Amino acid sequence: MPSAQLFDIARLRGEPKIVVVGSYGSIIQSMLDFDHLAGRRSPSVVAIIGTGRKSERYFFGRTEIMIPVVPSPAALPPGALRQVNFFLNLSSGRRVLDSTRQLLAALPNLVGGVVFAEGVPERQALQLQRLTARKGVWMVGAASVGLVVPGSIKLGAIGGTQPRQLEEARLLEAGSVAVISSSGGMVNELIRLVAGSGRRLSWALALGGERFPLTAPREAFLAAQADPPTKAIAYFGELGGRDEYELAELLQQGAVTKPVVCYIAGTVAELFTTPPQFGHAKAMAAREDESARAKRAALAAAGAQVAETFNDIAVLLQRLPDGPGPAPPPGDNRAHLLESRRPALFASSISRDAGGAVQLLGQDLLGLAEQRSFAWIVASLLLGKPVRSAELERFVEFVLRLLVDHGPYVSGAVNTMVTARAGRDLVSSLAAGLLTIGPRFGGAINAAAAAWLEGVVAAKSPAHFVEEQAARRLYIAGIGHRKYRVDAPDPRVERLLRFADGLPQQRFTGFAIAVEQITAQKKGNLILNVDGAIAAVLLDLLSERESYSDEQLRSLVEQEFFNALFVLSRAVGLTAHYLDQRRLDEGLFRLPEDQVTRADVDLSEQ
Amino acid sequence: MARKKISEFRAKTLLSAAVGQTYRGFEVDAAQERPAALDRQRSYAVKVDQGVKGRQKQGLVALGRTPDQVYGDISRWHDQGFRYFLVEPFIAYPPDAECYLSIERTREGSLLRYSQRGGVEVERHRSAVQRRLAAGAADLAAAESTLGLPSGWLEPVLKTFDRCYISMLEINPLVVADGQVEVLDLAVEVDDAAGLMAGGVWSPADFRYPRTDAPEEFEVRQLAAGSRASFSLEVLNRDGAVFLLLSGGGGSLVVADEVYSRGFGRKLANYGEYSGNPTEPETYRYAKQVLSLLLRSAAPQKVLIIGGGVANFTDVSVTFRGIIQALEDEAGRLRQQRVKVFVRRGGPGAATGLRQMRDALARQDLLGLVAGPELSLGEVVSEALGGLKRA
Repeated sequence: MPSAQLFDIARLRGEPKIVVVGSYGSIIQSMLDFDHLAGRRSPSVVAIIGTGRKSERYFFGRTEIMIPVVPSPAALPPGALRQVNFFLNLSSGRRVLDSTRQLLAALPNLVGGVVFAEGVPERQALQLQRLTARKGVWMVGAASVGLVVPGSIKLGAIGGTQPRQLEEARLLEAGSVAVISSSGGMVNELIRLVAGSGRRLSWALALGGERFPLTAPREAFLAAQADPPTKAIAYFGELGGRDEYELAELLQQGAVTKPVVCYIAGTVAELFTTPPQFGHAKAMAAREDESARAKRAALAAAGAQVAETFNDIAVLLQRLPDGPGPAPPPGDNRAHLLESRRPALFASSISRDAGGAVQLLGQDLLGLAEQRSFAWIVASLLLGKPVRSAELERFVEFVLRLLVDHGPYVSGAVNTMVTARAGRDLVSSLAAGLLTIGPRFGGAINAAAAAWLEGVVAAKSPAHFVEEQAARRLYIAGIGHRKYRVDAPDPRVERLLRFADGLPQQRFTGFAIAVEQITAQKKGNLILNVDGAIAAVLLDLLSERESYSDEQLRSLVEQEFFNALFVLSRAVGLTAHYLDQRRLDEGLFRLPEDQVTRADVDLSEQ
Repeated sequence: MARKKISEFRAKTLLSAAVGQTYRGFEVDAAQERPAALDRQRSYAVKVDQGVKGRQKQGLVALGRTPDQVYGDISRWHDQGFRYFLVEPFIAYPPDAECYLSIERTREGSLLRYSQRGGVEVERHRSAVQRRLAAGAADLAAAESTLGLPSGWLEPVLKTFDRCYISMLEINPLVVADGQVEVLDLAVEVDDAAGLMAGGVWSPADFRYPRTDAPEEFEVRQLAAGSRASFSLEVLNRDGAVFLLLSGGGGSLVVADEVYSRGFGRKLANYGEYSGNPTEPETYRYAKQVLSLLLRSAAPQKVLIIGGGVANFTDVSVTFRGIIQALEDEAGRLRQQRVKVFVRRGGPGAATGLRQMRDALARQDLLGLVAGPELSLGEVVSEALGGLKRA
């Protein structure tokens, strides 16, 4: 069982860095709105664990921000891993145990978290409880709408999801009453009753109405007792279970001395011999002493102020000793400013218009044009961040030159020429050539990068890798040439590989060459080709000179980054072929008929 | 969402398998089949198998019956509205042999309760019931020795208890004679949140309720089973006057308490709630069931209370749209029965939701009151009960 010291409110009043498991837009947005309205400079939510997109867009104030989405806690960048101190688990009841285990295993500095899902099996809830004790991380829930400490942290939907609700519930002004409730709806009602009494919250917590709450009422009461700003406790409990007897004991023993006002719901069950299951899993009195009436009596006998009806809590709050004090200064009422927000239709991270001047990657375009090489601008823009190494810049420069044209015979050039001769304009003819680029023409660099990455990251031996591809009857992208052979090597490849020379590791280039040594023995033309060499050298440069992680390299492959240099460079050649055809004024092209052979297909088989 | 009783038949089948026996009883579903042919030479025990408490005292158990008597018992109980029955070979034993044993999942672990003085009077001999957490082999051995159980009997029972996600298992009476263990009455509650993890040894088809569902209750169970939000509906009084269409486990309980504490408990027609941000079609379906109960009630005067507490994340305008649609569908009949509707709610989208609700109720002449959080839960109940006579 977690100790009272574990659930310590003081630690909630620091700098929260929250990771959210699963996605629930309105809840996450409300936490960011709380941060903003509380005057925080940066959002408390640092990442979302989920699938699908790489990031989700939210507002911080009126500004849109991107919150990264990662597939598992372990995939968080190392900085964030150490930073995260709280979690909000929004995954389903069946997934809660697994996903929480992953969080506890990956995040070294977790303090605590909230479990939102209803329907966590009892056995799993008890396992979570043991985990809590072992790892020294408190958890609230399951089926909890969360906890809130005014001005400090909002962990969950508690208090509402609209900016105006946060203000109306006075969640931005710190006070002296701790609200503790088994019910998520009633925690909100209590928060409002506290606000209505002229007092403010020190904090509020929804324990969740499950049979085995991860934080029991007892621990929450001890936390309130230990929390200096808290002067009184308002509690909502229900029939079922024996938690209230533990509370009565705390009061009797003097372990909790702060005034308690409370309501225990469920007297209606007295009407029935076999009462129905009321709203929460816990709300079923198996024995007489679990009834609302019996628990009210026990709390009253121990000195708590017990309300006969829920509304009487308002009266009891008024009567608390040391009155509310001077009314806190009214808030800024800035919540309405957050209501007319609309997410932008597009997001862009590479360029913008700043006061009439174009900026690329945060730098003035004109300045860049004057100081930087074309290759540097191309590589930086394609990567979405400024290139740091001269090696990568030089390599891109060389590739851009090298790929510019490969003669008028290749598919792309032919298509451009045919289109030009049909009288079409520059852009149409260029597009006809570009549209030819794909898996068989020019588009193999990305496929080659995918192959090297797969082999190197999985630490496959080159021989094993080759056998695997052969077994799957796949060509290895980056291997094989129509013209060149092992005894008549492609001179371009040799030059390309030189760019990796100064690198200490050369994981990808090394792997590609090792693969070539195996395949070239099988057949003389199965040598490393230009696509394979460019892919390998680019991977090594990005990895060793630009500090790209393997995960980031994989994401570049997914984006088809590695084909971009070919497209760009070859656009020059295709344009040139168009202009050339226009200069030569060649007429409409028609294939001589003997250039199309008749393919005999047995129609009866179809 | 909670602990659910499964049929005694399913429970005994599970327990027998755990201790390596074959269960010889069988279950009769009066709605489905005629009871199987019984052996004329034998004597039987027959009982209602619907999770009813205190069956013996209510005359829902018959012992030492001939096959003809069994058929007669079943048909009599069927006429009383029961549907599921359990028939098993009758076993005679001396009355003082009745022991008691239960296992319950608690925060501290699996709690054994056991006593040599079991049977219907176990409550009277409460002080004889020993309690012990099943932490190790010694605990099991202690219980086994007290009850005269063969050594090692409890271990597989506890394994099954865990593996099948059982929350509560109660054998009363338990009879041990000559090393032969007879589990005469067995009640088992399972954790229905674990439905997919218990490996198919039980399913929702095994859940038993003390009485037969109203069609509306059945419909809401179906709705809940197919939704990520939660729904519940329970008929308390078919001809009640106060109907609840509420949101939130806590808020709905507070409203029911308020009705009860004002002396209208016997007029409370239903209990139920929706929560977890359901969709508009879902609240429409739910509201239809509540309205169907309401329209069938023979009470001369009826009120409907809608809403609940201030929502955290449930979108009030969306959930209310479904409810409004259902009200519009039945507006004519509701007007005929002079039903008035009282609404109190807050939360995301509440301004829009409440405005639309007020407009619809006013247009249909059903308006009692529509209010936001400025009116307390107690006050809306007061307003709704204002015109009704007490029970």
